[in-house]
Amino acid sequence: MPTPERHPLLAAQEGIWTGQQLDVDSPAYNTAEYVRIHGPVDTAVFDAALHHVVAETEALHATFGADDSGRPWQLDTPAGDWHTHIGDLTAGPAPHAAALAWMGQDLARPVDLTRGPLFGHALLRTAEDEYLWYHRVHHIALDGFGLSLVARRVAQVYTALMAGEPAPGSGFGTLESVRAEDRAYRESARRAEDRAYWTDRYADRPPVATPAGRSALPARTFHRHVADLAPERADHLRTVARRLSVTWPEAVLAVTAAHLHRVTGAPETVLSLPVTGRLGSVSLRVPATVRNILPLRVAVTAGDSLHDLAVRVSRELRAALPHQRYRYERLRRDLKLVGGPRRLSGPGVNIMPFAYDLRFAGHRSTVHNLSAGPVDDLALNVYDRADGTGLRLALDANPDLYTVGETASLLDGLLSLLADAVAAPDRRLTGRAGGTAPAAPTVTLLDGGPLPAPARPVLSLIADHAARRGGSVAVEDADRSLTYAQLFDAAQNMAHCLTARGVGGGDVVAVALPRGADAVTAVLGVLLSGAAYCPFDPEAPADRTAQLLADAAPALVVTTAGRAAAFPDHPVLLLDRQPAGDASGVPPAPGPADLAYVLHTSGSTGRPKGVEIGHAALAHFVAGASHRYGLRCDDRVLQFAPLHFDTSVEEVFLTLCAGATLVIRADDMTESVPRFLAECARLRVSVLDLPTAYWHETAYALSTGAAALPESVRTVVIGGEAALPERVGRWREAVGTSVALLNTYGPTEATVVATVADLHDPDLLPGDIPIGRPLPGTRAAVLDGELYLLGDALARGYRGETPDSARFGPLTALPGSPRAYRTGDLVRLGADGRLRFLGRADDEFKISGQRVQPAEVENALLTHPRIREAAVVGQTLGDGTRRLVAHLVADSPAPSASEVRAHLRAMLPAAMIPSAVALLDRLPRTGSGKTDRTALAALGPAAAAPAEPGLPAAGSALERTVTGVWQQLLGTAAVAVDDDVFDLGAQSLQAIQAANRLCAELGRDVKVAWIFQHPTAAALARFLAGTEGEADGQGAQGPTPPSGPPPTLLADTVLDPAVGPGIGRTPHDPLRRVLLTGATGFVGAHLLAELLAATTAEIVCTVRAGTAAEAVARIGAALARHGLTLDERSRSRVTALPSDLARPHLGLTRDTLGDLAATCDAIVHNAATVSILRDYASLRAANTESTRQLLRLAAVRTTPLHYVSTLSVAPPASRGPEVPEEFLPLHDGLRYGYQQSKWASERLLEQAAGRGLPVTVHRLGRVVGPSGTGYVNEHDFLWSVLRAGIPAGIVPELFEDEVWTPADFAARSVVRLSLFPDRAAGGPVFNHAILPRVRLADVYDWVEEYGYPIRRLPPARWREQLRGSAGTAATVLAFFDSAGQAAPTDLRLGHVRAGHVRAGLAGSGIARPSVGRDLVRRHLDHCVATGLLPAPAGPRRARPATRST
Amino acid sequence: MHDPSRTSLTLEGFRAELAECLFRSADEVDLEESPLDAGLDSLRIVTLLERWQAAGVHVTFVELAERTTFAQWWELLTARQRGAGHADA
Repeated sequence: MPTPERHPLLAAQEGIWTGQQLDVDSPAYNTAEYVRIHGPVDTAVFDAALHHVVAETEALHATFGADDSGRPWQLDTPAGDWHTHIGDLTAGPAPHAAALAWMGQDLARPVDLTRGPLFGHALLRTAEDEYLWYHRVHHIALDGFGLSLVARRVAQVYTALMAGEPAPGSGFGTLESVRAEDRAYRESARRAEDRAYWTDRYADRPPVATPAGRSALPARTFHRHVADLAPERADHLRTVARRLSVTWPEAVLAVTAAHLHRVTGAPETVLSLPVTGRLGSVSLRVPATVRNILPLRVAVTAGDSLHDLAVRVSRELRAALPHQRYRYERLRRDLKLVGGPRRLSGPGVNIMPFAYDLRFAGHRSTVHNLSAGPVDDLALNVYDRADGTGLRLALDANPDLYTVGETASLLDGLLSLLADAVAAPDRRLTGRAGGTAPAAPTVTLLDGGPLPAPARPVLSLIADHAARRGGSVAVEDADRSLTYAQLFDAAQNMAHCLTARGVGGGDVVAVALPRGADAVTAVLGVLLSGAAYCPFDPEAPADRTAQLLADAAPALVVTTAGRAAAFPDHPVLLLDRQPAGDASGVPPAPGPADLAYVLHTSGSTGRPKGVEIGHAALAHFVAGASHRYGLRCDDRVLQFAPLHFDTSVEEVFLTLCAGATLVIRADDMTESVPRFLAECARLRVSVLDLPTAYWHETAYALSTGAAALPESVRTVVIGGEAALPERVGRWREAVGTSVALLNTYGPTEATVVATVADLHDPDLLPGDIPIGRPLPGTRAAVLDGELYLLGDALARGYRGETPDSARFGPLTALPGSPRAYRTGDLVRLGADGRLRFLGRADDEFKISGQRVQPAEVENALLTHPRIREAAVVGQTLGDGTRRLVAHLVADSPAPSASEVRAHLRAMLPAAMIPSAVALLDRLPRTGSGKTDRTALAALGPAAAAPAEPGLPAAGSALERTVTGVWQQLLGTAAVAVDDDVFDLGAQSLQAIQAANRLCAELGRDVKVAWIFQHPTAAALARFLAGTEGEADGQGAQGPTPPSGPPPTLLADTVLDPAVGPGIGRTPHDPLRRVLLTGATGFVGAHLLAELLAATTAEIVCTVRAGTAAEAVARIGAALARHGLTLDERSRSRVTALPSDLARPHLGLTRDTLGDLAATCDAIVHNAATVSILRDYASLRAANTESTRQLLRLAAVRTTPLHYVSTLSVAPPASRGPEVPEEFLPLHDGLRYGYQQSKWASERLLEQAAGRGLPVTVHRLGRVVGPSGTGYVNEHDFLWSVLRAGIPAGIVPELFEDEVWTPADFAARSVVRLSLFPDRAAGGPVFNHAILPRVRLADVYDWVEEYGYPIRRLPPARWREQLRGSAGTAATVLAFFDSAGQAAPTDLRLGHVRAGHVRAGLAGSGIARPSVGRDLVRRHLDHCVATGLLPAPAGPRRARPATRST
Repeated sequence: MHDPSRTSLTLEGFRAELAECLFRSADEVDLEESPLDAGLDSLRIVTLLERWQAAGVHVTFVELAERTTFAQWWELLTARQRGAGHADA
């Protein structure tokens, strides 16, 4: 084959090529649109027109590849034989939706740039006289303008052909003319001028603010939210723009900038503007990719109107447009804004100001864009509707940065601002009432609404209950109970004692008592005396107590005789020796301004700080929270918290002010969760207020069935730390949504609780854990992501001087500058108006420039089935290296560090993967039950082992290799391990080269994306060291196999914790419905025939096909191919289900999946993509993920799943003398993608089996055709070798012998062992290796006997001599090349244990076929008959006496 | 839309329309300047194009966009204007 001509890439293509290399399997560069044709279409003529236009569009006949230096080239490659997908969807229920779904699927398929084709077409009929023409093309071939040239041309050619006329000339120019222009520009003075303009304009490298506040690599997909601007609104926009002397797109840009300013608060917005780059260019007539991106910086200040901004945008744009040819990628390099989170510009605004109004043989059409390429952050696309009236706005968002809801709310916000702006173009857009400060940051205010009634002092409420309902029980403490009247009397008595001791208003009384009725009495007594109480932990160490005493300076300490010794220098009131008070000196009731209590929390300096809460704040909180929690007087509330936690304030005062009963927890109640809940049941507790950490334990116990929630409990309030999504999921699963689960958030400084969320809300998405909205009477403000609290429930402040006092102060960003408390907590406000807690501002840890919130990593860790608790802290080592350390509490067997990291890698970006993992028996907790992060951080580097042994020290060999590569590439010796290579001027192309060279030098996979994610040698080395142990058992030094297990392999082999035995199923005998995958394959066709013969069930076959008819046809063809015929009755029992196992949900709808889960009595999973050359990444979806999907389906009703596997998952004899008939651990014999994908499936099944799901695994040897047909699978490895070698007269001595299984025998055995098992025979793994092994030497003898003269050669010589052959031989050689020298001799398996199969088939009557000379002869007959081999030249001869070697 | 009475496009009118679009006075319009350098974008070209089409002169976007001076635009417009009487394909 002649070498295709190659061309350098156009400048615009280079960026796209590089982007695709970052993620070669990403479909993100597919761009597509569809044209809705309103009228009948002659599909044959349309198809002809498409072929005509594709043939004349040069850019579509290309593939792309890189040379040894990593430089990309475009190769002239004819698109060859391609087909238009033509479908009529009008028979289905929703044709348009079905068409869009089809397009969505097509669009999600990645294009292999090295193979093509780069495009696809479909014509879908969606109504009587309506067709959708779908046109997809990889962005490297065409840009939006190029796409429009092609569309216009198709309309023209179709119209001509329909009129019976020849197609007029295309008028297309050549790609070469565009290349010439590109070259000329690269060397022009004009380019230097353009460069000077840009580098000057962006010399200050303006910060890029985006709503997400962080960056991510481009994702494979995007969220799109679409809104239409009605014609009259669009007209209004155009009119207003004209009046302002700007174009309407400039007005849209202005509003977009203003909206981003509102959301981010940044004083300047830098937009990304795609431009055609075609003005004055030959490319106006050439379908190609030429477009460029311009950064557009727009300063926005508070007083700006649309008028101001639009004029500013227009001016900036006019200045920039003349320089639009200078490449954006180049400018980033000039400005050193490449790699890591560095950005030149933010959200994109792509405005297509005019639509193409195409006519197809006179019929009108409308164009609809589906995808405009990858979305880095946000991209607003604005399309002029073809009818020339309205506008369509599509906001695309990177799903790694924005949720669907956020995308929708951003677009909503933009539209409403646009409406305001157009309505009053001279009114300020961004300012707030009264705000005169320039560019004040945006603040969002949430108001919990008014209190239901004015707040009443707590003492007055309790006195009321004592007066009116004095006989009802206020406090229950073990066997003792106090009525409201008794409690109030005792408290008054106490108050009198205090008064008698001279204590009253303005004083603080320390209360050092354990939880109990006495403590409650004492607290009320202190308050009645007019003093404030300050709870002391009676168990606290002496120095802590001393610190608190110094800070609180109590006038008196109330405690028991046993504890009095702890307070030697203070006046003490002993509760157990309390004299009767003198009722004469009645103290005055405290006023709202008086202090109610002082509660100590830990301060930023490490010293405790006393928070002073006044009576007004306490009353305010009680009023808001009682209403929000819906507390009633018949509630029984458990007092869980000791007095020195502010939750006790909530428990005591909410309960007593509601007239309910406070039930005191006994200390031993929390020995275990089951015991705790049993006690709650006995005590008939109706409201539980639990620290979140304890609730996590409770949720876990409930989910495992170890404990049950008492019937009496109707409300559970949690708070204290962030609730884990995983535990909330467990809770909801176990408890449902009938019990209120209130997630509360609040610092002590705002009186216990400030915001509350209903976690029992059934509409909450899984994993979404809001902290909700402010309590009535409380307000919350979000400024720069940080939460501020406002309202009457705020503390008076801290007792004494502390640097933290600055947290209280006026919030100037709000009108009137109200007093606020700055929480230091980072939150996000969802579109639903509920807050989400993100973490502590001071926990945030920066690694490689990325901000990491430990909570996010912890949540990901907890999705691992065996990780119980997790705490992640940032650590800075002595040498300045920053790393994340994960502290875990795990179930046995604890996952290894590599397993943990592999698990995370599937969910988190690399920077967020902890580099060290430490296992602990339990996490250290603070006194309040929160994870003690300070203690964890103090564990120090030594305590946490690095995730992998051999973490390189500074200047390690690995680091030196990395810096060495960069020194060569950058041509400088000055590359230090901590240098950011992009700062040193590295470019994308060099990153690709670096990855290639590192691959070669290290003998392992190094992805280009990793270079971008870890731009220093130190970071990259650390990352590589972290992934290495998982790659193979040999570490970095030993020779690595061609493709050791890829990093994703282990991550792929973790079965989601939710997959476990579901609803028990009544076994159906006989089986009614069996699901079979892969029925069109070699074994599959025989399985189908066997299932039909052995059962009376309906057999549902998944078939990769577009329609049911196509699926049926494919099954028919497969059966015919294998010489299998079905009678009419059998045929009627086959249901063909169009699907695609490589797609999410197997390419089926939820309904279909649900139906299968409910009705199938067994699943036989046989489908797999078999390939000797493809790597794991390209096989995992079809071969591994399909198993995961089917396990999910099977788990729903505990349906048995039988999996057809391969003996090649086992290690070769050189690594294991025997193949056990059981699941196999990871071994370094897993070298090829196919093997790896099947092993990964088995691994999933192993976990399923461990959880009690009925599964079996059937490992087959080389499947060969039955002697009846002699069928040879042309993709079979051995037969590929024979087909390559026989015509050349040479065959390789590959191995000694191997296991063969005729397909019909395999099918019969699998069906028997799966569906009619002999339980005594064992399982669940079956090695189908009970026939005598076939010796390769014998096979070669039989081939010679058949008449083919062959010489047997050692593999290396065989390859040598075969080289240069084409066809089958080339593929086989490519396999050997990829496998390296050692591989071919390594194929032989050790002894294969097959006791399960032997026992299971005993007495089955299934005859064992003979595999030998006759069978091989039949196979050779088949090959000759079907042309796979030429007929032997010589006559068949007898076995030769000697062998030539 | 097509008003046959408005088919006379003058160089003065042409300059005036460009001037308005470029925020300049008519005598500041340099006919040798390229539309690209003048900071024009596609939409502004389409706006001008629609005006000239309304005046009965049929030119396409590509024809304007590929020309590299305003003088070439004027040549094209005058050629089309002359031929407008019989070029109604």
